Amino acid sequence: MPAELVSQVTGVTMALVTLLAGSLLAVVPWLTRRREAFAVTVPESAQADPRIARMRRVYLVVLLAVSFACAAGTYALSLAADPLVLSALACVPVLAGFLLMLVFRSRVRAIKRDEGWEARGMRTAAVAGAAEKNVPRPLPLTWNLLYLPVILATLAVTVALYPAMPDPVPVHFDAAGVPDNYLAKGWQVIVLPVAVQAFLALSFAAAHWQMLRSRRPVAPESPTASALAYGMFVRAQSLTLLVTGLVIVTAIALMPLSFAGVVTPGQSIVALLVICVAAIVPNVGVSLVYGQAGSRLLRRMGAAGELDFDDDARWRLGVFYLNREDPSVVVPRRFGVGWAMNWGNPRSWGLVALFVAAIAVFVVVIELLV
Amino acid sequence: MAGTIPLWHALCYSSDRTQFLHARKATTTVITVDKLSETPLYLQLRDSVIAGIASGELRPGDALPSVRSLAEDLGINLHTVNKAYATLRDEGYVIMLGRRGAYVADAPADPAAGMGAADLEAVLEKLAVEFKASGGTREAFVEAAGRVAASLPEEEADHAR
Repeated sequence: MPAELVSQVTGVTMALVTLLAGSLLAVVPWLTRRREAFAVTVPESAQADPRIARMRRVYLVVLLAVSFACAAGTYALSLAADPLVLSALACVPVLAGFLLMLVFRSRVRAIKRDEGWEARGMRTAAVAGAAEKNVPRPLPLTWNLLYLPVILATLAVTVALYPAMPDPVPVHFDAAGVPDNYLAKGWQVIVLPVAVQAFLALSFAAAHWQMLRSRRPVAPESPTASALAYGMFVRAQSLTLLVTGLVIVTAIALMPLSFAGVVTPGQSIVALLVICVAAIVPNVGVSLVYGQAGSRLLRRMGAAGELDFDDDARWRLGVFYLNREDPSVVVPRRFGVGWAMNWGNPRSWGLVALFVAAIAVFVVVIELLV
Repeated sequence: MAGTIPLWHALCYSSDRTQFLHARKATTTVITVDKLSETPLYLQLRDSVIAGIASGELRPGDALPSVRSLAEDLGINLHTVNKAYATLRDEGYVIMLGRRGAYVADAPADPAAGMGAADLEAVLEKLAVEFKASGGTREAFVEAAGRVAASLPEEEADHAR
């Protein structure tokens, strides 16, 4: 595969990922729960307010423009620039989205004060009995054991192809598919793909655990419907996470294949990029179809005019949840699709520290191997 | 309840069908607490569960949510939920099976358990005295009691307490 084509594919993929991520961010105002607008608690009927509707449209346009610009920039710079610069450029839409959300958040708060949208209580709800049994649940954690046969199969493939590998083995390639780092043949070459797969599998399992551990939000204004919608949402998310994870971890098997020359480095890079981008499509789809906490499943339901619960004060900068009295470790995100930690709970800090330590260990291991 | 409505239909609401949902809210087992209320949280929890049992939504043998998941879902302290479940157990509404959690108990064979006629009269007397002291009349009290009793769901033969 010509180096030209490989670098084109790399550039296009980076641009595409930047664009897709930015576009998903741009539509977040339509995906949030109906009782929240730009990280402010509002009555469900307030979503129809023309001022808030206009803010949503402005947010969409601005973020799409920023995403397009960054994608174009990423593509243009893909060959020349440092990977760190490219990563920074890819993060610009996220930063822009955050800042714009803060701006609109203060405006929505002003509207909330003017309109007098106050909670008439501090009611929270949970469903019990038959209702709780009927609500769908996320996949159990044991499904993550499926990663084991994938890792073992890759190990078998690596061992089988070991004799066919050259010495030294090329283990790293630049954006054009030309090898730029080698490793002497030895046990390190066999462990390398397995180590990468193990770390990825652990990361996916950790994300799955987050979904299981999360508080199940129930809107007191419509408890049964919101409980059902959330259950369907979390089940769909856990399913697509598992599928995406398995696809990506399996794709790492391209590493030993490229070491041994069964596929050329160019082919393996292109294949890996295509697979990774394709793998995230179901997740994006679930986010768009279900909305955060299943909110889009309820969009045809009548909107409540009153507020039963308001926890604006617990959400710092709109997106960081801090509540010491709340025993939850994981809570659904406020502005975005997914989950966030409760920073008021020391367990959350411990878990994040553990994850950071795991990443550090992984980086050290890879550095030692290569 | 969700068991009788197909899941798909339950989520394709149009605005006139939400009336249906709101009308059924009274019989859906939703445990609600209000942190701004004067009633202690554990008593609110206890009352919520008892209301569920009274309406027939929580049947004997139904599992109540685990202490941890209920505390997290409601955003209240684990000790509060523990206290509520302990109160329910002491009053005979709920049995605790150690690690397995709490389950709704059968209607008590011992008429002294739960709320008997004597307990009811004591509570009513307290309310009547307070109501009279605030300027209420006997007729208004009886009328209000009648309205509340009429709003309770129909009893089933095997659910009588």
